[in-house]
Amino acid sequence: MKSEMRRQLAARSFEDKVCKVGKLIRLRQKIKTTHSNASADDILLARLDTASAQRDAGKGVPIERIRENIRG
Amino acid sequence: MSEESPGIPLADVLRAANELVSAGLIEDYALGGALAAIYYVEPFTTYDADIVFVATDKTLSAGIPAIYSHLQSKGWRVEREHLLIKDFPVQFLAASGLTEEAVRNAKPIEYEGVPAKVFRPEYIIAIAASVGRHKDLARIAQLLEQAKIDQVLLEDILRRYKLSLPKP
Repeated sequence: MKSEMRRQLAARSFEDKVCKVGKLIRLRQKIKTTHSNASADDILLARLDTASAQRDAGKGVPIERIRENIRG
Repeated sequence: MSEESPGIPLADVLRAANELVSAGLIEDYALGGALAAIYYVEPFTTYDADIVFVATDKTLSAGIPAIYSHLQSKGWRVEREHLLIKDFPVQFLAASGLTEEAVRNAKPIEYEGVPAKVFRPEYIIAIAASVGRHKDLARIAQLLEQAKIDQVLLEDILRRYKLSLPKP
């Protein structure tokens, strides 16, 4: 960020700046939540891939075992 | 602070600190830490508020149990080293030496109509220099760039507490 813009932000009222800090905190929490959800999705997809591969391999994997693999 | 939280309840924090003074549980206090720096510089993320207080109780505990008890009776919750108001963490830190001088010389302000005090930038710089973590050094650079600094006062504080600023 340019120095002049930063100085302008610094010159704002304390109330305004504290309000902005609150928004920054909420934004970070939102990003963190979205990121951790994406990770959970990735884990679930990986489990589904493994289960599909076992089924497609025609190894006669019992359906209960596939279900267990998906549940993790 | 929870996702649904409307923002930082700083006015509530300062009101509570004023009540502690009125109740005689602390002698004086000032806002320190990141929020004090934000008073002078651009906003940045912080996760708590630091209330630095001069204890009335001069014993080792600095009256902290009585402070906690008073605030808990007002609905504050305790979570590890923080007291929580509306899910926002606040640390009450007993002042001594440099931080006590910073409290006594803090700048009077009004926040949403609540009278309070905030550390002067020269003291924030000196305290950051004494701690010296990466974020403290960044805070010093930010204050030197964006805040109006009384160089004579800053040099006097640094000299008396045998501190020096990091080389740019």
